[in-house]
Amino acid sequence: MKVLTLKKWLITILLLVIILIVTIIFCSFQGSADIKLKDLLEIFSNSPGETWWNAKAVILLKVRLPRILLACMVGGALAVSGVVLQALLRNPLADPYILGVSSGSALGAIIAILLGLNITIGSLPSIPLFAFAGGLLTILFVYHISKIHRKISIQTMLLVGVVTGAILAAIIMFITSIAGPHKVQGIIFWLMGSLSSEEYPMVAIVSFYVIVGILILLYHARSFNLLVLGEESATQLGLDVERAKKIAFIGASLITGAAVSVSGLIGFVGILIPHVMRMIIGSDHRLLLPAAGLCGSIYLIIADTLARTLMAPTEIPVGVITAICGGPFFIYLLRKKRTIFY
Amino acid sequence: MTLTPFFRVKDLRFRYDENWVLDGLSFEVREGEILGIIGPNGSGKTTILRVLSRVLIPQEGEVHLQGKNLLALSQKEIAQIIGVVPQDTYFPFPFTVGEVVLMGRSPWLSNFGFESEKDLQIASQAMALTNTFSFSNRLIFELSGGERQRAIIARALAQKPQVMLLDEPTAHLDIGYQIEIYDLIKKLNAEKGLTLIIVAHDLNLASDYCDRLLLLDGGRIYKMGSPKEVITEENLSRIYQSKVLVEENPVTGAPRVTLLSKLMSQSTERSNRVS
Repeated sequence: MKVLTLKKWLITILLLVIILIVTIIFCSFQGSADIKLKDLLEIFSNSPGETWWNAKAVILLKVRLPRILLACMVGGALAVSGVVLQALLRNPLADPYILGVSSGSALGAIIAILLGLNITIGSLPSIPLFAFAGGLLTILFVYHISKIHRKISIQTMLLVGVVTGAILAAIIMFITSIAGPHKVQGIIFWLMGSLSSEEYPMVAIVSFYVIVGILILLYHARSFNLLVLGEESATQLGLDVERAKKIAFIGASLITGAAVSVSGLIGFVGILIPHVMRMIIGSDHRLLLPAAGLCGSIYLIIADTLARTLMAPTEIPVGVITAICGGPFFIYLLRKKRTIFY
Repeated sequence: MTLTPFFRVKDLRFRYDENWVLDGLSFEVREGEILGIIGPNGSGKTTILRVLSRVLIPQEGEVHLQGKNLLALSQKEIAQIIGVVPQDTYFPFPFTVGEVVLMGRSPWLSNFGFESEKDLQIASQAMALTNTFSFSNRLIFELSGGERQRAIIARALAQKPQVMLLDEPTAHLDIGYQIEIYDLIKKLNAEKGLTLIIVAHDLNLASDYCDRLLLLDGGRIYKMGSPKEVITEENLSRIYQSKVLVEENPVTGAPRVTLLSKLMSQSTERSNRVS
């Protein structure tokens, strides 16, 4: 009998962590400014002050690295959120955006863009703050509407989430249609999703939310195996189902909200990566959840690097890359494995 | 020797909305018996299993499990005593048979962490008993109906339960598999001393395999007793509103039911009258 053991878990996770680190290093040296690996040695061995040092170090450490770290967090968050929501809703079509969190965040961001707000709290810019608040409000709304007799109804939650998302999307369309041309550009740019121009404080805050959220979800990973069986069977196997559902919903929504508020709507990662990883390593959430997170990070870092280098200096929206590269690969996998999958 | 009843159900009433689905049930389940629950559709058979496994909490009445009020136990403690085999399980994602059976160890495990050698051993034994070990690495939805039902029984066995509740375990199976599942149930009862409560839709299988039967009608107990006491022409024709013939099964000695078509019995009556 092949089962998940600690050894298999450690080897898989270690392997993915190594690939992630290699990807981060490799992608740091891709870009229009020509920086080589040997420059890195000189950057660290030479003292700061010389102008060439400054230029290369600034590009590497202040432009590329924060962007790559952000892609790492956003990709991981979207993939983990996809895995958890698919288990919670028992639906292979679920993705991080299905319960309306993304539309709430988008509306928040758009209001900030429209009002041209420049409030900062601490050193945080207003757009991500508004986006996060919008996402949070949507989560609370969907959660409370779905609660019937102090229990969450999964079917109701799915419907409420989808309908709330649709209402918010309509409001976004309305706002876009009446906004001035200059602001429309900003709105569309945000909606397309981008990982550019974030500074370290923002990256740090997003990392905090995403890492804490993922660790909490990981701790409950075995519960998600049981949730897949349905609420009745999960209860009969000793699971506190209401608690597990709450953790899954709130955890997945929070990390999605944190990711969306800094990156906009980057599609495909949250639905593609969970399925691909299930085909490769199986459905046990104890391994699937962290493996999908790491794989989502790797995938989004590579996609974002392609987005900023392929047609440099023009940047392709990263969502275009994630869909165009990922979609065909996914269909190929489905065809190849279709006898045993779904 | 007086046995403490395994389950004691007293004045149980349950409703989903306005109508009482279970309307004042009192009965006991003895340790080590096979109890069959029979009755027409909508008489509350499955609801009883849900209440016994505390998926549903009754509005009135009490359920005692081994002398303890069911409400005083945690869901985990209940799952360490009661294993449930649902009628049909839908798997939206590809789990292997081994993974599904190991989920039966959940009530004994903490949140994160991996199954121990002992857990694997218990799961292997459950698979050996149910004859599912040979396909432990296959995906659960690649299996035939009978194989899948056996795998789900193995999952319930991996819980190391003292009682197993089965909800129409042979509902979608052909006759070969039906006998296989019921023989397995009998074996678990004889060899492991497992108490079994089976919601059965096949009256003949229930009659052959169960020690006692509980005949439900409209959320109330119409009759409870040995198959010979419960499976009678009078009881069945009244509850199921149809003509039946009950005779003795020449092999098992248990009552055997034959359904009589209303059309055919009319025509026999008519031809009898003519002759």
